[in-house]
Amino acid sequence: MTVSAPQISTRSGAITAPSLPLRLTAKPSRVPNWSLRLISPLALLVLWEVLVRIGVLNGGVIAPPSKIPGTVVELWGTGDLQAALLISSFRAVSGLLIGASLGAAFALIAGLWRTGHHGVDPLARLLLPIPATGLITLFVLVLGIGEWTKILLIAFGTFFPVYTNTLHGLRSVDPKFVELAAVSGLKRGGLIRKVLIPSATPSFFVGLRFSVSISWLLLVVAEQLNAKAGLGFLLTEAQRYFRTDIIVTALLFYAILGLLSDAIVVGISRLVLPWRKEYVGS
Amino acid sequence: MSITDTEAAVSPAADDSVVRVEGLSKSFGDHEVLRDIDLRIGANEFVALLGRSGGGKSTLLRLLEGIDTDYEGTVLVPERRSVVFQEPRLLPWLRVWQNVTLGLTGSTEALKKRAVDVLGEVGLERHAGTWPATLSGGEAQRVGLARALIREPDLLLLDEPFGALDALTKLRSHALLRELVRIHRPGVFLITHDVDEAISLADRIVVLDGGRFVLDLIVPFDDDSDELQLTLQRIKRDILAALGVEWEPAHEA
Repeated sequence: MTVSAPQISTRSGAITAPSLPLRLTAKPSRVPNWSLRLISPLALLVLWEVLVRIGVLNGGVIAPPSKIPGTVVELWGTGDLQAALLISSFRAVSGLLIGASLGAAFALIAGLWRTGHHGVDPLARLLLPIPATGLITLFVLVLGIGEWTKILLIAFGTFFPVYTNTLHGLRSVDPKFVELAAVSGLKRGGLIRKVLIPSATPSFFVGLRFSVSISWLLLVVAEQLNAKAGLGFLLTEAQRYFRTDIIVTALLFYAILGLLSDAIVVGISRLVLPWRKEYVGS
Repeated sequence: MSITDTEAAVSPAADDSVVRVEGLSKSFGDHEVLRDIDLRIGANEFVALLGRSGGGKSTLLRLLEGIDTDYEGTVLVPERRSVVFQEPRLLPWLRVWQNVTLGLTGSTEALKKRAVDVLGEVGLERHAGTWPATLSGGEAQRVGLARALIREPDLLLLDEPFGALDALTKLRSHALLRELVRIHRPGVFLITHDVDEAISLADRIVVLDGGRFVLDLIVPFDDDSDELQLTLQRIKRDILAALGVEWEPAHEA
């Protein structure tokens, strides 16, 4: 009997460098990310301009984007734009600060003490489904049409995302970490500071980002109904005088403010949570 | 050395035991996990506990840790005891040195200095300021060991601490643990399902099965003869038999 050398017969083709059909790490891009991120907004502006120019959209009703720079210069010259940005930002930010602080505080009360949970959570659940916009009429009746109506409306709307997310974060702490705290000799205060609050912080920021976008949303609604200053006031005035270029400009600034505030929250969260690693898509 | 009951204070033990368990029973509903067991671990003694999965190992450990205080019988452990868990269990939001000093009090500088010293003992002083997410599995487990040692425990509880490590890292970790135990001299209670690990590390091995200790034997160590090898092989066979596994040393077969 002859013994032949073992043959590999299962191999179907030439061997190649190993590769997977799925890319797992982002490859370094030659184009900076921020410029890639400009593509879709710019595309929308171009499409809009073209649709107005070829007459699909009526330029008299919807001003084309090319008119925006002129309008910005005009409004800036009269000082209307700066005033509107300042007062609108003040309303949104103060409402957000009140709502988010209360949301976090009540989440701590409900998340750290059982009696606190029974005391706070039923009320929060009852109020949660009430749309903030539906409260406007009530707020106006009770508080008049002053600043507090707008600020408290925003506070009401921004309370819940922070409350529910932070509470969820506190309640979903890994029980193994709580055990570790106990066998490491931590007392209740240490458990709260070293384990519970840090573990809930990422969820708090998720809620805060929702709240930021809600604050601008409610601001538009509140300012359009009753305001003597602000972006929403600019909008209603423009509607009255049929200045669609001002409407478009005001909407653009809402978008810019929204983007800016979201970027600030993301920046703060990265500073506060340096230990986190995020997945960046390929 | 102070010994306290995890439930109520009783008089300290007369001998030098760091663990005194008497008539301990524990049930979950109708299921009796521990049945009237006794266990003593002497100061500086290294005891390994072997047993099948679901045999009550972890239950016993949780009672000794003080996490579970619902039992019948007596459980006495020293105040200064620390645990190394199955997984490193490092808090991701605390830097390595802060994880090591978790639960200790003192000035930041003093704590950090102590942490760096102990991290040096496990070869990780360079990593004191890094985040746990940057460590390898073996490194993270060594941080867990440093966290346990910095408390200078009278009793060190090890809950399958090497189970998730690769074979090489495991051997290195064994050598490190042996060295650290030689220096710090705590009483050690190691839970494992690795018979060879138990034989190579422990002074004494107990086997828990059906809620009772079915084997309690001393591991001989002080000579290097062929006879010792034979004895160790026989011990391994006896332990495996107690665990329901038939095994014969290769050269005896």
